[in-house]
Amino acid sequence: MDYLRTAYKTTFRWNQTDPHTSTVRWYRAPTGARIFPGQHRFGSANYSRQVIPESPFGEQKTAARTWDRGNTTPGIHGTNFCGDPSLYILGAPVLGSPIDSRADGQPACCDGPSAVVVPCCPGVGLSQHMRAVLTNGQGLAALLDNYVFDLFWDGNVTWSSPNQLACGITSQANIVCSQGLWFLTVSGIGIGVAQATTAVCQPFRLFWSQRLVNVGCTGPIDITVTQV
Amino acid sequence: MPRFFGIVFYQQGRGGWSEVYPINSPSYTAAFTILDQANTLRLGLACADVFVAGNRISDTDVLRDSFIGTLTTSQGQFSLAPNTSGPADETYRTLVQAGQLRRGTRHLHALPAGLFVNGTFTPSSPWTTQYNGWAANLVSNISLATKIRGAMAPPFYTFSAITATANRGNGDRKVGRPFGLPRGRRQIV
Repeated sequence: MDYLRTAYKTTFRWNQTDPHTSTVRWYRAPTGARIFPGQHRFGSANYSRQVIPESPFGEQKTAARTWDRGNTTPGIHGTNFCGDPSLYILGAPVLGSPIDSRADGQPACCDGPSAVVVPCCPGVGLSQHMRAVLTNGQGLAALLDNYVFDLFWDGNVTWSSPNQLACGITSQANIVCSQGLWFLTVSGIGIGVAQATTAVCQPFRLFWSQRLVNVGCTGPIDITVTQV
Repeated sequence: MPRFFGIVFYQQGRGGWSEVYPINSPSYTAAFTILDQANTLRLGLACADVFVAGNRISDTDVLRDSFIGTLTTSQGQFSLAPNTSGPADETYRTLVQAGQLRRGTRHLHALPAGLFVNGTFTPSSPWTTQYNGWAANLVSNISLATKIRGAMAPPFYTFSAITATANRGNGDRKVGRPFGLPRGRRQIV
């Protein structure tokens, strides 16, 4: 959620109308934790303590700040967040729904499957589930427009799809991080090994421009891979 | 147009520092793009022992906001044997000018060790080329921020376009706390 040199405990307010506050502890994100997607209003007051007005919500600068060792809360992976991203900008609802908790008392929604960190995106936790979508096909490849491969992490550096029929041909897709670069292959319909045309880690998006389908629905087609 | 502070946290060995870039930009993501470019140019001056530890963008008029992105360049790119940084307390000063304002002196940490001649930092032509690119980017994309005293509502800062930069020599030690000293609590052994 933010960068700090030293962890501490302090008081947070959750929306502009409800005066209730909670004690919050900043702690180190575990390895593989993912960065919150987009901006939010629950950052540290370290960066704006010199500004006179009190924040309508988020960290309250007049509250006590107690030093904390910053040990990561056990069982937290930091791979997901609770609620809609807009709540982190507009504030939490006054009468929100109760959050389901796990047996250890931590909110169940805080953790998705453990994030994957590969050398192609250092420091960025990636989903174990990727989705490749084929679009903008030319010639017979247009028949593959909006065709989807769901790819799952193999525990090493590759996300692979199960075998599935594409243009009537049993096909299987792989994306792999090799020597810091992203590569894609699709067997069956014969899309050879190719380095990503563009690769962005945050927000994660890989793109291959006009790759040639060699078998079946032949022709060039675009391929976009995003996280699920 | 919203005004942002983009901060990059650098680390070198056991030490580190941060650099703040005031950015005029329509959105967080657009501000991050400018910060990303400034960081890439900055790391063009730095040796391979300098790494990015983190970054954040914050709108100066929004309290407690934070936006974190992934920078394109995360390690120093200036290649020169021994490809490490020189003395930690040596900096290269840049004076930032915005109209009549002549302040915001920036101290460039982590000067290449290979460019020190008899203890004096002596910029080479390739390093100067990189430096000029970084300084030109300050004029093009970065602003000079001035706190508005006593402001109780936004705006809390005035941003002025940088009109020029001036090289204020080298080898000056930054005034104030010396570099390299440990910060924060220390374990008592």
